[in-house]
Amino acid sequence: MNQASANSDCVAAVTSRASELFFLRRPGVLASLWALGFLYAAALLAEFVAPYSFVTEARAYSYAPPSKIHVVHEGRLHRPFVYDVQAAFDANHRRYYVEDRTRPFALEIFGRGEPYRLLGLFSGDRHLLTVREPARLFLLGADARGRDIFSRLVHGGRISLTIGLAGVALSFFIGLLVGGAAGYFGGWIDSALMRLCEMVMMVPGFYLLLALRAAVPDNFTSVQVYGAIVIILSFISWAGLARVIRGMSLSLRERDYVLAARSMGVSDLRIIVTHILPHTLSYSLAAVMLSIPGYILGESALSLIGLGIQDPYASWGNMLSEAMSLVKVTFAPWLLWPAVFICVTVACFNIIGDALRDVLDPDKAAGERS
Amino acid sequence: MSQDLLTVRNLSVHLRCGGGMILQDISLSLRPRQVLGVVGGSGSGKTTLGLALLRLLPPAMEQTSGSILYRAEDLAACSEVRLRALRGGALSMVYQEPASAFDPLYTVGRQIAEALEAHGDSAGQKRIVELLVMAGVKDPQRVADSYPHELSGGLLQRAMIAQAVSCSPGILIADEPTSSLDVRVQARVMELFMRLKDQLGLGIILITHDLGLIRHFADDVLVLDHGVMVDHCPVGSLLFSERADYTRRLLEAESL
Repeated sequence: MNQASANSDCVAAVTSRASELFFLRRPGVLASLWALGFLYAAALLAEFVAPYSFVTEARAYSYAPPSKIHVVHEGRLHRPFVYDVQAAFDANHRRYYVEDRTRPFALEIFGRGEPYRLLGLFSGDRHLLTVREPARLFLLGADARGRDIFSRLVHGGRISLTIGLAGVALSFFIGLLVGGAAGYFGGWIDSALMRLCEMVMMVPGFYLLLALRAAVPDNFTSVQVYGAIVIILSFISWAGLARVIRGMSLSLRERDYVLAARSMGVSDLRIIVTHILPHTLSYSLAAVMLSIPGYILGESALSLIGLGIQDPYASWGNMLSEAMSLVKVTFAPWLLWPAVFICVTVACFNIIGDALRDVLDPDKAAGERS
Repeated sequence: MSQDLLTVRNLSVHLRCGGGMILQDISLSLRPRQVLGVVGGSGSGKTTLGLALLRLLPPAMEQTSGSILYRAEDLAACSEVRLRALRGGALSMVYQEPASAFDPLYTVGRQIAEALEAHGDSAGQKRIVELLVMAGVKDPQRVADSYPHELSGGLLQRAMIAQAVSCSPGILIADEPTSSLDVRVQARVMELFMRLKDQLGLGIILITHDLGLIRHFADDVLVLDHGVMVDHCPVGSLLFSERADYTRRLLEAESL
């Protein structure tokens, strides 16, 4: 307990400092950080990054395939451009698109397009990549109503990527406080809080999700629905964290410095917040990273079955709901792009979370070095 | 009697759920500037006595009888809020292991400030430096800004003493305050205790297994054997032969 634990604390501090750099050198971590950085930056600057807004429809381009980017026009080299496309029907009445090869529309970086207000604050009309009207740029194809899937993905990222952070923030606040209090006080407080956790954990997650969603009025605005989903997802997942934190607090409260703080009359809440919870950080930091994908998937699942974010607002989940029919997917496979984005995001968070857990766990790190 | 800082009558502590006895019928009293030595072998309940006085017994133990009066206020009848004010403000404790009594995540100064803030003191840097100087620290600013693992055991023990007296308690409970320090540092820390005792009018309860310390520094001595008070007498009369069997054995063991 005494000298030995003080020493191990020091050793842990030193090794974790040394491995901060080591963390970045783990396979995939740097790439994951970059990928997430791009995704979040794109979501933040969605109006600018996307060529169109998430509601802009072009009914003439229903299920238009991804635009082909050409560099040769009438036998001569041309800066990258696209042709306008027009729908036509083949002998089986299936729609296909033909390019109108008479007029090239150059890709314009920072070109003028639809006016927007970035984050509702800055107005502008320049987009990262766009083409002049009447042609349309569909980097990843279009959906049934001719809305650009890339634009909707970027805007949908605002919901799908932030819902994990908001949910994690809320459920960690609850989980840390409940777990910390249960472990620190022990006795009947511990029993009561842990039985509560078990009640929440007992119900299979997805059914609890549905039941709670059913309790939310269906005339909510999209912002309210977003808030409701965050709260529902947090409500489901705080319990697991609380149990682990409780176990750690049970042992941390026996530390001499906790007794010392108590014998100086420091209040219980203050001891939990300053002397117990920070010592669980090595676990909870990795747990945060590893639980974000759960929120992203939870939102996607809700939206996929039509209980989450409602059309016309875009989220990766409700965009996927269009891809639920096999016929549509064989006809327009680009409807599956949201699934790719979800997979990449979830994989990135898991890779970072795994690496964090390995780096922050001194026992494991020591084992690897020897 | 009325001038006593602390009066303990028939204090007993048992394990919960009908478990065994830890302390039985302990009675003692303490005046300002008095040092009461508590000696006994390992497991004799010395530390438990200290924790019982602060009403910080581990959850598995409970006080089954007796009263603890601090300046005529019964601690057993105090609310948790009042107890928090009394801990540090009336009684405070110095622990055996200075290295583990400070949280490794915060600087020493920060943790002294925490104790001050808990008692409604604004806890300026000046006050912390003052306290460290009073505890005999030579470069107080550096110590205040250091993390526990950067300091030696002796310095940490002084910092802990500074923290313990920061909210002007009447009684300092020192639980084997010197057993993890080398002999030279031990003597200096004990001198510090004696100086603070005179300067601040503290009553000190010195818990130790070292009879030498008791003989040098304590006025009275209380001998515990397996939770039972076998002797309670002035230090001077320790050597007389009418003392309890256990005390005699302790004294003999020391002279080996």
